[in-house]
Amino acid sequence: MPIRSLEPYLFDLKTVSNCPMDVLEDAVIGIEVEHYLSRLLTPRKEPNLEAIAGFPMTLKKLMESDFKSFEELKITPIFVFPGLRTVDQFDYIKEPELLQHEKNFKKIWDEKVAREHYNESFRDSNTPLALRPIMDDFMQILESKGVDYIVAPYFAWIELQYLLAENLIHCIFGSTDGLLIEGVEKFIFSMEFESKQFKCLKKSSVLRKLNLSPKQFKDLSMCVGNGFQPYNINIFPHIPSSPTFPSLHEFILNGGSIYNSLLALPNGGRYMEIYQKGCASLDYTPVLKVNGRTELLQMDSNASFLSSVAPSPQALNSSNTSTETTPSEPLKRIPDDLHEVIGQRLPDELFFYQSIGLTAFELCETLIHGTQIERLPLDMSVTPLYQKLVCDEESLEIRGKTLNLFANSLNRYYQFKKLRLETVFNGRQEYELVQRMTPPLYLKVKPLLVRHNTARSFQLAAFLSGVSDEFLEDTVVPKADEEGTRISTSYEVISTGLLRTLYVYGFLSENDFMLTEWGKLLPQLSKSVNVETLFLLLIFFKRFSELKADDIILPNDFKTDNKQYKNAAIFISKVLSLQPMSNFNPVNYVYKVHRPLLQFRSVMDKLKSYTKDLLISNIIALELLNHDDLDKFQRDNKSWRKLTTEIPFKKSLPNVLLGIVAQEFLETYLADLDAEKASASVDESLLKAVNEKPSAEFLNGLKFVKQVIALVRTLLQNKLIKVDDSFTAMIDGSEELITKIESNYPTNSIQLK
Amino acid sequence: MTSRGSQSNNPSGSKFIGGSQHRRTGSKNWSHVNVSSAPNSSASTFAANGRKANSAAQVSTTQGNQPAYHLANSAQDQEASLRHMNDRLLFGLIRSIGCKSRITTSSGATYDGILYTTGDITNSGVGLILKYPQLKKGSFTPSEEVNNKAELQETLIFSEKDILKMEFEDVDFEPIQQPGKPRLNTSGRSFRTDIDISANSAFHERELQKWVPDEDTDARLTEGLEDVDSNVHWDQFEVNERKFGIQSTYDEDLYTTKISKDAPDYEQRLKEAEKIAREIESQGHNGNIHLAEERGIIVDDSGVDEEDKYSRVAREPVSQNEGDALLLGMLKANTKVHKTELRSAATGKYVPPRNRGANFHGDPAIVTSSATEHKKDSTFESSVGLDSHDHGSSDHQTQASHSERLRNTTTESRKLNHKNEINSLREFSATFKVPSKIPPDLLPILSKDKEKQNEIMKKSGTKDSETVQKSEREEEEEEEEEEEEAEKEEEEKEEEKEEEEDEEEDHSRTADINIDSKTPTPILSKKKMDPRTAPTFKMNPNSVPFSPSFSSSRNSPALNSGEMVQSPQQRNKKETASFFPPGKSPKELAIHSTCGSIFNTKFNVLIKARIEYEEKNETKNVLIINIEKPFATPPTWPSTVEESYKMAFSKQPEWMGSPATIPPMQKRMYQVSAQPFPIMAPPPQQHPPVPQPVMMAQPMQMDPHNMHMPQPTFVVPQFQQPQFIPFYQPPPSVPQMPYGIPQNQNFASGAMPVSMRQQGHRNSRNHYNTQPQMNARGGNGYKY
Repeated sequence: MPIRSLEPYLFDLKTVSNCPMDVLEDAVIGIEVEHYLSRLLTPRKEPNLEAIAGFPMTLKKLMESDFKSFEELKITPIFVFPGLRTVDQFDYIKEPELLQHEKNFKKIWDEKVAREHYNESFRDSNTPLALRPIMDDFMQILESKGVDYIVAPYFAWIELQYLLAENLIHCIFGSTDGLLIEGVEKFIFSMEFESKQFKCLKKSSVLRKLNLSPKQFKDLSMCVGNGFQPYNINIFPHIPSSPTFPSLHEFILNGGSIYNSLLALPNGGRYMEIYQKGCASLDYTPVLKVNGRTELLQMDSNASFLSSVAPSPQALNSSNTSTETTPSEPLKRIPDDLHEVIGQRLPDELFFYQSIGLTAFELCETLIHGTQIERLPLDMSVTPLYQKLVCDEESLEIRGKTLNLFANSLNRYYQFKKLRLETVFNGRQEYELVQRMTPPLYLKVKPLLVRHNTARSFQLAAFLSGVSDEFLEDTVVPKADEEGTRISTSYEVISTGLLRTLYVYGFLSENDFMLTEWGKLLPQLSKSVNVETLFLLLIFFKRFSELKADDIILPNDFKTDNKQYKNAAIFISKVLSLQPMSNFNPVNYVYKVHRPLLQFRSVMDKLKSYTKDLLISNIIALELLNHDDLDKFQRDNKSWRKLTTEIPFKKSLPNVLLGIVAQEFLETYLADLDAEKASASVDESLLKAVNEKPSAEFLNGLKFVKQVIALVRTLLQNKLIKVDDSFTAMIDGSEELITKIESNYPTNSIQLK
Repeated sequence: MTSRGSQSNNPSGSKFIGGSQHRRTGSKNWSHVNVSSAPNSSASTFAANGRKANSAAQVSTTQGNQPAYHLANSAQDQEASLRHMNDRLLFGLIRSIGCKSRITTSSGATYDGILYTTGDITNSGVGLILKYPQLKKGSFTPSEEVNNKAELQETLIFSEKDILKMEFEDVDFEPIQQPGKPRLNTSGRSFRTDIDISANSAFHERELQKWVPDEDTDARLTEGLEDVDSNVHWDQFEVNERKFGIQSTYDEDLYTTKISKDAPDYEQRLKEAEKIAREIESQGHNGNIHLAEERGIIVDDSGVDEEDKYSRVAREPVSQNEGDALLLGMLKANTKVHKTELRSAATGKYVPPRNRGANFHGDPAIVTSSATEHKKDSTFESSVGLDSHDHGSSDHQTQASHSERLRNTTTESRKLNHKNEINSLREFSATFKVPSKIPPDLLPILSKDKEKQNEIMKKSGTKDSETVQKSEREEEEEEEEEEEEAEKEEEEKEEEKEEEEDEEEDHSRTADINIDSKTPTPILSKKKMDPRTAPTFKMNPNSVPFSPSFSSSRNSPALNSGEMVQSPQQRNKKETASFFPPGKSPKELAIHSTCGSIFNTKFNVLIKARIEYEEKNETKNVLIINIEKPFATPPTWPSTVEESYKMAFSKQPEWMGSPATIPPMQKRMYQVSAQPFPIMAPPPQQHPPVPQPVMMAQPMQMDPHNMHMPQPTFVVPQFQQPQFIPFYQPPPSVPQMPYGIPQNQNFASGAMPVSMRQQGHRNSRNHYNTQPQMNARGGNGYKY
């Protein structure tokens, strides 16, 4: 997040200068990903993005055109992602009140629900696009284009500062936060490839124009909020509106002092603390260094990584810095309570995995800050299903297991730290999370080790098709203890992680690692058109084995008079909202949005992220134990990244557009059961901007629905789930409906363009 | 400061209207306001301070509503003047806010304090709130006095019925002058711009709502141009022919110049055109989004509404406007001495119509006619080169030292100005043509001398360039007076020029005018020309006097600030050169080739460990290396000192020095702070802190039904507006304090020893409170 309300002000004061693009020829540019995204997807672009969720439709194309321009100028971009949240940032999302962007979201949702063509964007200058949900997709694009990226331990800007100081990059493309960074005199603020220009900010001239000293500027920025300290501190408590940069600037120019005002605030202790932490994190945020260490800029440790030589990293670090700092740079005083500023420390190896994208931010943050925070999902409301998924007992248990696995190799402090889950849905609620388990879960899953002679890269379908009792006997073994039964390929690492995940979810029996009734369904999934989502739905039914039709049907905004098929139609559109369109145009979607579809997606999305966390915990635990993976020390960063991108459940769920198409189609269809008319009406609607023939996409998507229905039927046959009558009716109705629609079309006409 | 009492305004003795009286009380600055609780009370209430009289007045009030009072005229009068008196009372009260006041209650007690606010003026008078009240005189009943003494708090509220008398000290009835904000001048005498006018009106914008079509609206109505499929081919001629059978004779070449692509120099000209286009486009749009859009640059115009983008008058920051403002000021002064600048380098700005005239008369033709001309011309070619050269170097100095640049600019700008004139002169002479022969009746005007007339005629017929000189001469005559002045200046310049000219003496001179200047014709030569030869010439009284700009340009802010002189291209060049710090540009610092491998193999603990292991053990085939165990990493970060990060922050307020050098652009902002603020003075103990008007936003303890916010003085500052500070002028006797001065003195009483931080003590909040005297370690180099 940039310094609040500063950007337009800088433009007003004309402190942003233009430079021709040619200057950057041959340059290596470090790019702050969050800023880059906010430049590409300004609030005006894709106003409905947050309402249909998923990866922005236009983003890939925009990135590709940028990469092409980079290539023309021989620019090498290095993308730097932000990492963990520091204490200030985490505390901010812990606030029990609605955050600014949540208020905004709520307001806009209310409008959107009330008025069909309300195309106000959810984003505004203070609410940029949330990066984390789409980070993995973003990395995948970078990976496919061969562009280097790195995930910073904490702030991307501080990592960029380090890269610049080390001469690894020529310049930085980042947000106004950069004005706070020492040693960065100029940086690129925006690039306009069409006009062959870029805008840059020059720190000294900005400060001169504003007539502020660096200290005044910092105080001001800390007060209005910025990437390092997101709070907007209201230093004038008697004025209801929160201060903006221009107003405080005026205040300072008239002789005011932010610092003194902070001191004088009644009950200002908390604000002062926020301010101090914000300032301190500017100076003391660790970065990932060339040598692989994650440490403060001021430190320069040459300690060995080999365990035999390193009794205690802390002792080593402190002794090293006192002896090895060069005389030209006086020893900087590093306070001893930085864990209160940036959060408790995690091992370097973990930061390495984070840097290549193999990470579970939420788990790390839960361990570091002692709390898992669940805030409102994108739809800004909590359905009973969502509530259950986040905080019923089974969820807490699985979350505890995940954390147990994750903390297994970490400092004992983390293994026994008291953790809790805080939900800020409608007021704050707390739950206890128990990750303390004896014996640790890891010992139980340890024998599960998938060894495969030929497979190199991992594919979910291939893996699932092979899951059988024989397979388990062959691969999963007490043999794992023997010498030589170690693993090395991506396939083996990921399959092992996944198998252990299946075990935790109860697809394998507790003691003898045989497939349970649930596990026996796994091979069936592999034939699906969308294996991952069907797998996710299986986990969903496993988690909610007692279902009522209302759990799925409610809420909805389906408009029809046809009572018979209404539920079936809702079921179909909700299922299809999980299915991607096979192709779509990169456009700004401005047509209808349906909140209930998003609400269903939110549930599945949460489930997916929990599954992903569990899977990654298993893989990280495997790696951290440093015992089974033979290639661990051989892979370079590129192979690591490749491994990471193969991990399933990392990609975000698709947007709900197909669900919207389905709902549109079915609403028309149910009126007079005329499929021709329904397709015509869908194809004529504004949905055609997204896809030339939305109806074909819908008919094609019905395959997936049929697979889901088949899965449910099997579950019902095997008595694995308990449902009420209306649920069965809904399934039956859906099947009938699909048959009806498809009978209107000879199969050969259902072809995608 | 004193208004006349209402007595004299009283239209009829029988009815007393209004309830207040302001009267002068000698030299002492006390204004007494006696408020009777009933505005309609009889005159007797006026002097009456007792309950009795009040109740009598009440009676009369009730009677006042009886039909007897309903004589139309008197009732209207009464109402009007009642309102009038209410206004006056209100004015007085508002002006008294913040003043020392003395309130006598109906119980007889007298309170001193500072008037904090007042309530609505109601029929029964007005309620008041005092801050920091002090009981001056006890009440009649001793019991109450005891109570009062015991319970006197920071604010004291008087309801209207309790007040017998109120007195205010040092009330300033002068209209409020807002220094530095002439735009708020409401007198109407001075010129007011749109901003001034609109700034005064309390205009509240409604939130505009986007039009949203009804559901049943035809979709074609709502679709935008972009929505239409761009693939559809539309040929209006074809459609016209098909539908109406009209055959178009449209030929594009009729409307535009046909570009002959076969021309031999086509390629070259195309290149040149592209170059020019590039030059124009690379000038940047200075943040003007509209301009950028027109140039086809896609800018991020989010957050800019249509008004800003297309129609609003650009509000340049002060620094940019200063040149124009100065120019305007000079024009107003309209003195002979003052000289407008000629086509200075900083053109491209808006020039007011009157000034355009000035520029016209500063036409280079006049300059040409001076005797020194040939030399200047000869230097022209070189001067351009020198010009840019000078700038290149001075720009570097700009970065190096500002002061040095300032020294240079005087001479530099002079040179520059000179060159510009010559430059424009050249342009002029090259392009100027009198298309036809000079009409014979013009000849006598031009010259009385027959010989000269002939010459003129001959020239006009033969040589274009000489016609030029003729037209020059017209102006010459028009401006001869001024020219003499100019001449002096020119001579000064000449000396400067001479050096440069020497170098360029043999430069090829191609322009006609050069030849002319070498063999001066009588017309051209100023020396030979007699001013009296054209006595009949009518001077245009409205023409702005010609004013050579040399001396004035030296003072021109536009030229003095080096940055303004630079053309956008120059600036670009400068930034190009200096975007990367020296030694760090992509050319000098080749990371390109290496960075790929760095990001592939570095930043990796595991590879680093392996390399380390291999170095130590010289065995390459070990696959699992024992690296540092993750559980060995403690949850704390390494440190070098045993102190908290909070040590870096002083617990004492920072000292704010007086604002030192104020760059010109900030002048506007600083005007409001021109009066000295006691920025860091310790909170005055002897004076109770002044109630700041902003405090009014706090919930107050007062009778909800009769207390309103008194009107306009109490503006809760709108923080979205750039200016918010000077909304309140305190009375002189009360010290003004800036916001944020600590009013609680907790930090000043911190003699507590620094409790060293204990290990494992994680609660930072406690920690914070236990170390109140951080400033003891002021010298640790971390002090903020």
